[in-house]
Amino acid sequence: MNRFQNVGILAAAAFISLGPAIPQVFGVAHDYVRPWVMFSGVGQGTMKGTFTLTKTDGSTQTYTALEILSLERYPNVFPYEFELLLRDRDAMAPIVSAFCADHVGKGDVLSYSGRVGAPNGWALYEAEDVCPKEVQLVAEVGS
Amino acid sequence: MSAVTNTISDKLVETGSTRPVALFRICLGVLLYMRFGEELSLHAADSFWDQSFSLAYYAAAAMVTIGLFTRWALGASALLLALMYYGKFWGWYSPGWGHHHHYLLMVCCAVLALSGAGRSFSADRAIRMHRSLPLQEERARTWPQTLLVLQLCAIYFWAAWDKTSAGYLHGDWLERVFEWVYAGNPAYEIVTNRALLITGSWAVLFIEYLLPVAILLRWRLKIWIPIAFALHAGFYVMLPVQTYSASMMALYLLVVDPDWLDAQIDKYVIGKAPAHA
Repeated sequence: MNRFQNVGILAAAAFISLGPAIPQVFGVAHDYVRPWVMFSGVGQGTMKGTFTLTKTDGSTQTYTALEILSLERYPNVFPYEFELLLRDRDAMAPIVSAFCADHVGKGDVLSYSGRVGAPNGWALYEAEDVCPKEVQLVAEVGS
Repeated sequence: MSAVTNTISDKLVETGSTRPVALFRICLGVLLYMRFGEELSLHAADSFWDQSFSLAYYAAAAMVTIGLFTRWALGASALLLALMYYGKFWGWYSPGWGHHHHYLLMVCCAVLALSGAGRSFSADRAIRMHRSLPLQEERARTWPQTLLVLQLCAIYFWAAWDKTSAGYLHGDWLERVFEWVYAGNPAYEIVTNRALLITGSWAVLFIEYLLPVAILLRWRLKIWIPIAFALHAGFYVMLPVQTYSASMMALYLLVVDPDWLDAQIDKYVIGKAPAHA
């Protein structure tokens, strides 16, 4: 083997073994350097907690996140791209809007208390009166 | 320092049986179909470019599997996978392309194209036999296998590095993943049991940090390889891992000593005295 081949093989070995340090240690993301971060984003934005619907007469009813989304399971999609996840604090409206339109009447309050999937596990999250106002207005008109 | 230099020099010129790398090549061909066969089939293609790409992919994967023009087929497969992997740069993208399963298949094809993977269990060899041409010796330099073993170890180490956090060790990270995968599933209560989450998290991290050490030092592989297989089988059964687990398990064909595996094939599969003993 000639010297150039040897250098090429050793460079490949260095790239394979140490390359991921660039994004994973130094935080420099690059399309040509693969980080090995399996499942690190899966489940972020899922909600493990309780939605509580408080009616005007004081009665309450609780729901899971899947019940709010009218789903039996999260969709079996790859690579786990699903728009109805709580990726940021302002993203609740599209998640609850269909439920609010169908179940939340004038004066009713839907709140959430629980956890939200975050990069290192979970983040605590509580929110009151999460129905978007325009959706509640539709409910008021319809009720 | 000279000991390290000598070890590296020895590794660069070391030779071994090509049967293990050929077996891995066959696994890789099947994995190419498993991963992209359905979405690259002709019925899924809706343009002349997509249909041409589909035909090229199917042809290359078939040639990899049977070992026909093996090096060219592996090189072509690596190129086609790279066109998909980096396709987003010219607006050609499908969900899932660019994922780590994809990258692993691409790297395996690229490195294997430089190996003697076509010298054994291949149509190339059968054709030479049929034509009474001199056969290539079933031995070749093993540095391509070494590179892929290094890739295997790097995946374990950096995956463990990514998980190393308080949230992971408390089981929260795994619970969050299971929330996505198992919410609404009958097994939900079992898989999200706190004790199981913590035990599973520690076990995975422990194994992922120790496997590269055991593989590179060839330390108690008879124990660690079954543990690795159990880990990947667990991933395969419990999570949507696509071809990741199968690719990693197949890579263990390259971890064991090639001449030892060759002798086992002769002894237990072919039923004759080892050819390269």
